[in-house]
This record gives sequence, C-alpha cells and structure tokens, in this order.
Amino acid sequence: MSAAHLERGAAFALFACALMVLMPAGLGAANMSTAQANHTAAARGFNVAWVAALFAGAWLLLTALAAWRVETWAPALAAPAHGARYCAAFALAAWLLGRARIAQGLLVAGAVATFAAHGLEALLLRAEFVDYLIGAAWRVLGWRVSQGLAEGALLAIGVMDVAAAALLLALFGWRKRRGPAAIALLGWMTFWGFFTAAARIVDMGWGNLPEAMIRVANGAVPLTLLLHWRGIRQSESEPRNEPRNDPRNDR
Amino acid sequence: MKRHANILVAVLVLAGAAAVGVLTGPTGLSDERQANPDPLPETVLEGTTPAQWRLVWTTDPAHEATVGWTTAEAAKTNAVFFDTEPRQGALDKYRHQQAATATGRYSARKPALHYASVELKKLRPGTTYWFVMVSDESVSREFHFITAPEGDAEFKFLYGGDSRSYREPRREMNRRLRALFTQDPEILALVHGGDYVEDGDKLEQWVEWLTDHELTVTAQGRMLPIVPARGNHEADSVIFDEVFHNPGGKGLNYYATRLGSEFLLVNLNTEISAGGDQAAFLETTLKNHTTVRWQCANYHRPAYPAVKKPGSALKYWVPVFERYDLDVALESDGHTYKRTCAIRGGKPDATGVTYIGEGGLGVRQRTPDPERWYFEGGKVGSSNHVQKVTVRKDKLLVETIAENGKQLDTWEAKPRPTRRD
Ligand SMILES: [Fe+2]
Repeated sequence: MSAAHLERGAAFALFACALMVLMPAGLGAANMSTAQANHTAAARGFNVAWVAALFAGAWLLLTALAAWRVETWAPALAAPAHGARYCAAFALAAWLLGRARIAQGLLVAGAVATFAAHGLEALLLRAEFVDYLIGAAWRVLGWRVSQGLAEGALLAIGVMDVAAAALLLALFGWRKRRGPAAIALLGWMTFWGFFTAAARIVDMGWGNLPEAMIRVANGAVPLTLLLHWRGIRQSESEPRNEPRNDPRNDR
Repeated sequence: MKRHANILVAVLVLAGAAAVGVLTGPTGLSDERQANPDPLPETVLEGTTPAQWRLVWTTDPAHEATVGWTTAEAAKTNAVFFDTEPRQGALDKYRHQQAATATGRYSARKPALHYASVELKKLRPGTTYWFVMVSDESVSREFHFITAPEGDAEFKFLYGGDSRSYREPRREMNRRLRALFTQDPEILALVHGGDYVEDGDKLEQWVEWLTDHELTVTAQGRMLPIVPARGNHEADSVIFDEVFHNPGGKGLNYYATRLGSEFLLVNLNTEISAGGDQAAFLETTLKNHTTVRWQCANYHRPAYPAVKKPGSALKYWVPVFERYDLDVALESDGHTYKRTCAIRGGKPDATGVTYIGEGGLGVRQRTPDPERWYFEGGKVGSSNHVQKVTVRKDKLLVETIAENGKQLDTWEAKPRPTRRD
C-alpha cells in the first residue's frame, strides 16, 4: 500500500468523520446545543460524534508526526506548527463528552503551539515565508521588495507570533485572565490566523484553497476561545440569580 | 452496551470509508529491481588515506575544478599533485602541486572524519589532467579527469537527482553511470539535482553516499566531475558545503556553469528564497547570455511536478525562463521520470520551456500522475533512471536511460531562432 493509498483512505475516513459529527448535531439540534446536553446524550450512548472527532484528531496528530519525520528543514517545529489542527479536533471530542474545561485547555495549547512554532520558523527565516512576503508585496501592492527587507519584516513577524503565544499562555495560567487584554490578544490571533491562511490564496491563487482550508484552524481556535471567554465574562457580569452550573464554566 | 454498539458502528463506518479510499486509489507502483552482487573494491577509511573522493565543477570547469576527499584522521598537509601526463603516483615527477584550500572536521559529532578540498585553477580547457591526492604520507592511486572544452564545442553530460536512502539501487545506478561514462568518453560530468542522502545533517549517510560515489570512476581511473545542486534533504545542511566546497557560495549554492561557449547551465537552490536575490541572479544571468545557443537550468523542487505540488520555482523562476527562452529545465524530487510538453504562460506552447527529470539515481520510485495537463505529449513513468544530454551545434538531445541501460524516453530540440548576436 503506497502513501497515496493511505492518504486517500484517510481522506475518505475524515469525510465520514465530518458527517458523523454533523449528523447527530443536526438531528438533535434542540437538545444538543449545550455541552451538558451532549454530556447526557453521550452518556446515554446517543451519538458517535465524539468518536469521529477523536478519530479526526488522531489522524491530524498522525499527519503532524509524519510531517516531523518527513520535514527536512527545522523538523522539530513541524508537529507543534500543526497544533491548532489536532488540538481543535480533540477539543471538539472533549466538548462533545461534556469536558469543557479540558476542551478549553486543548484550544489554548493548540493556539500556543501553532503561533510559537510559526514564530520560530519566521525567526529562522523560513525561505517559504520570505517568498510569501516578496510575492504578496508584488501582487497586492506592486512593490518590488528586496530579500533583505522581506527578511527584516519576517523577523518582526516572528517576534510578534512568539510574543502572542507566550502572552496567551500567561493569561490562561492567570486567574483573572479574561480581561479586555485577553480579548484583544485573541482578537489579534484570530485575525492573524485567518489572514495568514488566506494569504495562501493570495500567494498561489484559488488552486491553493485546500492549503488555506487546512489552516482555518489557526484562526478558528483563537476565535472559539475568544467567544468562549467573552461568554464567560458576560455571564459573570450578569446578576447571579441562578446557580452557577453553566457547563461552559465547568471546572 | 448501547454505547459500545455505537462506537462499533462508528469504527465500522470509518474502516469502510478508509477501505473505499484505499481500493479506489491509484495503482501501479513499480518495485522490481535487481541487486547486483558484484561489490567493487572501495577505499578503506583509515589513517590519512584519501578516500571518498569527488571532483566538483562549478562556474568555470574549462579552467577550474575542486578535488575533495575524506580522511579518518586529520592530516597536517593535504595537497593534489597533478600533471597533463600520467606519472603513476611518483610525486617528484608531477609538474604541479596545490595545497588544500579548505580542511577541517566535518560538522558532525560522529563519526569524527575530516575533509580536504583543493581548488585547481588556471587549468587548460579540454585537457586531461592526471593527479593524486596526498594527505601527509598517504598517496591515493592516480586518477585523471578532462576539463570542459572551450569554444563552440559538442559534448555530453549526465543529469540525475535523488540518490538518497536506498543503498543498493544507488550503487546499481552508479554502476550504470560508470558504464555510460566508460562507453562514451564524450560525457563530461554528472549534473546532480539534489537529495544525495536522507538527512543531510547525518555524516554517516554522506559517508555511504561518498563511498558509493567511488563506483562512478572508470576502470582506467577517469573521475566523473559533479555539478551539485542542493535538495530539500540537504535543507540547510553544513556538510553539503563541506563535501562540495561551497558551490556557489556557502549556504547560497546557486551559480551558473558554462560548458563551452554555447551552453549555459544555471544551478539554483530551491531550499532558500526563490523570489529574492536568487530571482535577480537568474534574471541577470540569462539577460547577460541571450546569445548563448543552449540554456538550461538545474534545481531540485519542480515547477511542473509529476507527483507533488509545484515548488516556488513555478512562481518566481518560470516567468524568467520563458522571458529568456530557456531550452530545458532539469528538475528532481518527485522520484519518477518525466518530460513535460513545451510550456509557456501555463499552457502547452511549442515555443515554451520543457521540463525533464524528477530524480531516479537510486531512490525508491513513486507513482506519477500522468493526468496532469502538461504531460499531454510528454512522458512519465516509474523507474530509476539517468538523463544523458547530448549537446550538438544543430540539436540538443535528452535521453532517459533506466538502470538496466534501456532507453525510456528521448527528446530533441533545435536551436531557438531568438538567439542571435
Ligand atoms: Fe526531494
């Protein structure tokens, strides 16, 4: 069996995963809308969505590990760079099982890993990134940017990415973490994650859509955290006339 | 119980989906190869005995060459003794000698081995040089090589890439290179498209590669010069530069090779920025040589791949190739053999550039995708191979030859009418 066979097999299985995650959610939309309902549903043996999510996570993790084996330039950074992808799938599985706290931790870990790894790759002046900058400057702005200038910009981006990862980690570990600073940081990471994913299309045209799609998690993970944390802030600022058993606060 | 049943259902659905994917996947991976049981003597790496020799050509092979070798122990002195006549290793008879330009320990914790590189300069074009490598008291056997010709010369060279990972097939291919080189003295050199070893930072793999490279020397002792390009498995490997003596500059590894007055080979590095300084270099080089009859490029990751996705060459180099009417681009990395149709502006166009290669100097071959539009009128297949390029005044001929010597493909070009003084 060649790698092409394996890849195709996994692609079909992943497709089945997506269907299995979506189907029960669609069927029981009313009572599946909260993690609590899912928790009950999973306990009753109602759905198979979490198995599918777990499988998707396992496959994405496997491809990340394969990238680490196959990548010849800075291979140690390949697996963490994929962090947002597999952590998102694992977080979904945890959430479907009603483990919101674990899901949140996984999302933070994924975002931190991806931003830190990409930041380090930028600081090491990854050739692909240098060429993205040169290409984007030419295509979007019509500027001929020298390699030296592009490398300078890349160093700045690297510092920014590593700083964002470190800040997110610090804020997550800090009890009063969900202040406006955290929201602003996540807002930036969401923008930057989606922006760099979309840059693949700017760089190589719509043929590169799959390249962009697979990186959607880089923005979607901070976005999920952003919505989650903002939700918690809002529920905390509301008058406390109901018991605090919001599953999103599951600690 | 119900929960278990559901998990079972999920697993069955996934397994079924995976099976459908696997069964409908592409087929036809060629995996047959013959092991040649006759091992040739190789130089034993001990003391200061010069072993694992290589003769490197870069910008001006009519006048310059670099001889490099490996020793187990560090020698105090390393030099090449050379002459235009055979001297059978009698050191006092050689009319020229040149001390090492660079020596040192290879950048690896183990094994602890040493390299010596000797730049030979001011050589005469089209001339046979006889030489020995000397490290302290140890003298190699006598070898010879022929410098590149000058003027409007006719000659041949070999092109191949991807000699990594599988030793026996690589040795088999090296024997094929030697057979071609022996049969056809018109062959000047091997142009290598990169991916020598699996991990360019592992010296033990280079030791194997270099040992196997000894097999390319003819029985008469003629050394096959190598024109190296960096592949992704060399990534940012320092050992690559130690083995090949920084071709095109340390860590940069892009340079133009002139073979005779009418053949230009631009060697590029797909492992560093393609769109920055290198694109400028390519533009300047082709612009300064518009009247040279034959123009060719050599780099690792393909612009028009048979297996993977296009590399940055497609975006940054192909427009330059087309602007200056490059004849052929030699590409590696895919582990198949391939020849595209002539391409211009992303479409088949008889005036365009043809892309040949994909790498088969011993690496396990993959299954190419023959459905890609640029193979209409071209050729793809799975077999270890080498390209023999024949340079004539009236034509450029590229033959793809399998490890058993069988011809897999041929392609011919006429001089472009756009090349004029
Ligand atoms: Fe490669």
